Amino acid sequence: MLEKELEKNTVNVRALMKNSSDLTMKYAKAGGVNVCVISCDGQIDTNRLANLVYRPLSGIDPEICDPRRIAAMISGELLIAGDEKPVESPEEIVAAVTAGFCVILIDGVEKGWAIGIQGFETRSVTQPENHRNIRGSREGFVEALHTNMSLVRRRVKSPELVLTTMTVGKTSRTEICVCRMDSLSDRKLADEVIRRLETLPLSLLLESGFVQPFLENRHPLFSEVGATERPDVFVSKLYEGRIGVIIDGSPFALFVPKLFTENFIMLDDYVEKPVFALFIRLIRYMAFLISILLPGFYAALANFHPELIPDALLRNLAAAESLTPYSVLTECVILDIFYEIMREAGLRLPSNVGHAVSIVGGIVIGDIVVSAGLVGAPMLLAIAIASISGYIVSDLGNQISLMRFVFILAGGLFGLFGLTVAAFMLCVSVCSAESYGMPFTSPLSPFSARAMRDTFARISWRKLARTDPDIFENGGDENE
Amino acid sequence: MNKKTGLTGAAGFAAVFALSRIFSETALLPGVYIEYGMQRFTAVILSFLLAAAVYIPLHIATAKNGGASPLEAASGHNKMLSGFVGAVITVYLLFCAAETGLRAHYYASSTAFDSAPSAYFYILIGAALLFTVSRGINATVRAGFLAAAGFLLLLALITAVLLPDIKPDRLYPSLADSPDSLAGEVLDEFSRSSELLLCALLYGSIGGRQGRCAWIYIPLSCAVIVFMTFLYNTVFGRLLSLLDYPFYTLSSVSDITLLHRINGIDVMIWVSAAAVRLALFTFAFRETVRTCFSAGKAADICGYVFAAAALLLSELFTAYPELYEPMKTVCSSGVPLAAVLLLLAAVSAAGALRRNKERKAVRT
Amino acid sequence: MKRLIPLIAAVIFAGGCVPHTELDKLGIVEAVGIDYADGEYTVTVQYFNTDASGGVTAVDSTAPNAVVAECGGKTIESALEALSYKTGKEIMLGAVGMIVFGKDAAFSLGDSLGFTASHFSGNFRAYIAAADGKASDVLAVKFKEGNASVDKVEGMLRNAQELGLTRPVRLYEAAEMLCSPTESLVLPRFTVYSDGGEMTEDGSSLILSGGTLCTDDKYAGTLGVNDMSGLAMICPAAGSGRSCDMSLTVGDSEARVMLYRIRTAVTPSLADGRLHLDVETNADCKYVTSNIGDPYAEKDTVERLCEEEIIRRTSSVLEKSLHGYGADVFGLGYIIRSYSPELWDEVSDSYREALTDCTFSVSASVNMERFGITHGADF
Repeated sequence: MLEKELEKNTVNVRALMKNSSDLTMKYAKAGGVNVCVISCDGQIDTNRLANLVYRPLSGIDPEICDPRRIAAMISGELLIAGDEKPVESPEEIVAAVTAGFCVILIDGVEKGWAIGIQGFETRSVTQPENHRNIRGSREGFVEALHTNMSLVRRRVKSPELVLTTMTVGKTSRTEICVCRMDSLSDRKLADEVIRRLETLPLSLLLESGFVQPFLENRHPLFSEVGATERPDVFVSKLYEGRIGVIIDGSPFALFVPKLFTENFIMLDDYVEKPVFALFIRLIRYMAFLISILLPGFYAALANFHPELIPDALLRNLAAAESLTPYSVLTECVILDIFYEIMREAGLRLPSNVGHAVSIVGGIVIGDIVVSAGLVGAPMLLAIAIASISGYIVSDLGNQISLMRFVFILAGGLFGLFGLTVAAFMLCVSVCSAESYGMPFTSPLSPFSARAMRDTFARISWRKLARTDPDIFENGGDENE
Repeated sequence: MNKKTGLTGAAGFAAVFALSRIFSETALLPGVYIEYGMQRFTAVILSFLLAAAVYIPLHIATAKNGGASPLEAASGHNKMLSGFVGAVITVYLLFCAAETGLRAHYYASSTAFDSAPSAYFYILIGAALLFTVSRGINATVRAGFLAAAGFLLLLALITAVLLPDIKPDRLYPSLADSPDSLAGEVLDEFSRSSELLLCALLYGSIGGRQGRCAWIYIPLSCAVIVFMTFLYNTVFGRLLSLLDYPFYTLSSVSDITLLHRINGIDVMIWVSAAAVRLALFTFAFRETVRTCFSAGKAADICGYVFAAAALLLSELFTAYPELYEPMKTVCSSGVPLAAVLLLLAAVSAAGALRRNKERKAVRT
Repeated sequence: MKRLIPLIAAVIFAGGCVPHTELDKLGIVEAVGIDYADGEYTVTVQYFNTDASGGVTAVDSTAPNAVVAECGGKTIESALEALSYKTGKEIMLGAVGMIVFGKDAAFSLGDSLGFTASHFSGNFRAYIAAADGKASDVLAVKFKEGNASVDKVEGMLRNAQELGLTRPVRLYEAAEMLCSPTESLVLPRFTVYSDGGEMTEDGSSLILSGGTLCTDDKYAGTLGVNDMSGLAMICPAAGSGRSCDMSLTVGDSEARVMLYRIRTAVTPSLADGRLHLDVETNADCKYVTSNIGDPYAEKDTVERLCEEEIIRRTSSVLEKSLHGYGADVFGLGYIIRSYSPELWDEVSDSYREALTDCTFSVSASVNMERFGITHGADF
């Protein structure tokens, strides 16, 4: 609790902050009473501090010497900053100051006032890097929570949108905002999300990815928590009854639950004609299957079932294979690992060096390896097509890489039989995942005819608009 | 949102049961051939009518018992009865599961997967089966549903590709070409419908209106099998009676240009269907053990033991063909009829016992 | 991860135990020729030589990429086994596009086809044909671009089929025909001529010269090109449209017409204790080319000529196959059993005799529908 003496309070705060260098304390007189304005260097906007705090304080009549009168003026009469809350302990002062508030302490009053004048440097709102689209907003989430909250609020100016902030992480004390649409979302789901966030055992939260595992249901491969950089996508998910979580310091907002089919749905599908949406979604599903299965399927066919390959193609493949020293499986594994190495290298390097990687990769892998007779051209093509297809479903990039490798081994070692067993086990594994009671694979299995309005095809907006989207209704039909 | 979250509905189960039924239609036991002729249509339709007729009393008895599963109704009142029913059904399920393993092994090893040695076949299928059982019945049914969708796509593809080869003039007006053998054929067809028993045993795992399951499964399987028979007859004609696996041959002659033939994909679907079918029998066994012997948590372990035992038994049948011959006879002599009837008798007996008890209670 | 490591290790170590062959070690057989002499089969295979077609780094890029090899054996399987030793390749029959039987090997076709039909990878869509002499001669014809490739022979069959001149037979169709009561089957027949073909290197050429008829599962005789055309009209091959090209002489002029939508109905009956077949053919017809002055005016004549030609062709094939060999190559037993079971009961015991003894009446009706662009507006 705060003491009456100003000096004791400031000493306590300084001790709590371990005399940190960025702690600033400005002693002054408001009226006839000693006050202290505590803030954290770099967290506040100095202009706002001068205009919204110093100027009103210095304007108080010097005749007024009653600390309680001054306190009353600060808390009620004076037009100080809008964001204002009382603080009653040194710990609260420290929390407020580190969050970009300044705290006014008055000598003789056992209470302080935290005034919101945050003004740290932030990145401006820019186009998101990962989830680009052709039509639609160019705004992406940034690191600052309140900016992100405003981006969301700007899109839904209705009391339906409920934003609840909370602080998690013992050390980092990161602010988190839980968003939901009041009448569309399931209250139990929201409570469950909030419960999980409140019991988060982490002390340091640097990215939304730190929170994600605690919202998931421990499936080894797929995440039932979606992440997006786009406020418009985020809002559309909220509108489908999902619960959103924005974490201070991360430009990726999370939403739960997420279904498998959502990986294949992009915002662009909704601004194009439905027929294009259908076409492009089917292409995405096909690309996903090609990406994980093609090299494994190729290895299986070439090693075990050549009779399945059309004659002319079989002759070409055999001719290409006759030039290479390695077996089909070895080639497949080598190329896939090469590709993963190049991808990882290209991802981490600065963009100007990244070009070098792509040039070296393109020339070395694309040309020399084939002409040197190390790897057959058809195999290279299979891996190249598979890897390019993998980029189409960018949210599943990591899973695709891993699955592709497993299928290469299964197909290359045991043929289609191995591929079948691996694919079946994967299928069972994915089907066993449930996200907050929703089967991860719905509405495909359990099948819901109603949800097919917006799964492979996307029916016209006129028809979609007739009913409000409700994932629980869609996914929960359970074949009924 | 479905109030019983996590449970798959009756239609999903029915689709998977139908897939499982069509599996035993496609992966014929060695030495069993499908006869060419119009009689087969009659036999298929009659066998499903018979299946429906067998299921109706069970359905009524279940409804009378206030919706409790037939197994619960049969075993809830008398330990002796419950133990007897449990033991007989366990033997029957083990037999069905072993038969499934055998079918799958013969099918895979005499078709596209001939390169997989028998031991590896059972090891890999066993791994898939244990994994599937560990993931639970809902995951199995969902995965099976996807496999069923894959089968339907394959069937549509085969039909489209073979459209020019279909010769409808091979169909002719006849109900029974050789009436003497009709009864045997109907019984044989009916014997493949072990899923009817699954409808009764897995009653509690089905979400929504459980009763609908069998009424979707029966017409669905019947329609698909009649359509497959239509394809067999019109594409292969007399050759049909010489083919080991007609559906496999259908996919073998389907040249989709992208692939020279699609029999590899066909076998992929049936191997998955075999794993699903084995898993379903395992779940049914678990349910039986749990209900009839009040096994509780031990039932899960029993399930794994059952799965392993079923595969070992299949391996045994593969290794000793002299054991297999009597099994084939049993397979085609209407054993499912006996099992479902046993269940029905047990439900009725349990009902009678309960009424007796109630009457006594009223008197006292 | 702890569970994953042993699984991956098991997969990698166990993987080597499943036998497989690399693509370049395979002898991808495209065509098989089967001959028989002195109790021994000679199997000729045309397989793809990977070493010759790989471009600049190929072992020998000048060598032809289709290699013909032959080997003998007591059975076809043993001959194929010997071939795999001889060629050093694993013989792969999954891509066989053509199986040619030499004249002397055209017996027990059901068993002979077993070498691929019973094999899991056998190609059920492979074409089956017969050679006038030895099958190895057919496969050895050297076109300028290489050996008689399967693509080329398939193309010949396809074109002949479109012109209504033959009835190609695929493996599963052949097997189906062999299930008929008289075990009869007609295969398209290839003849090798050494008369200086322009397309070939060694002056020999390959032509389709009609059909080979096998009955009771053994070689019986040959059918001419017109007989094959009649056969294709009565029972076309699977997947083919029923059409037929005909050249007619109308007065002094020549006309080529095309018959399409050919529909043939065979009605069996019993007349005077003998089997009687009523064969009725209906077809639509159009001009392909003609130098007739007024095609429309000659409509009736052309229709009549077409009808006569149809009757000639179908009668000829019926006469030869039924009366000549007692062979049911039309699936008549099928029709009788399905649609007239009582009749079938009467004739089935001595079906072959019933066929040899049968009478048939053939009728045709052709309807000229299209006359070309220039004369289309006259009516």
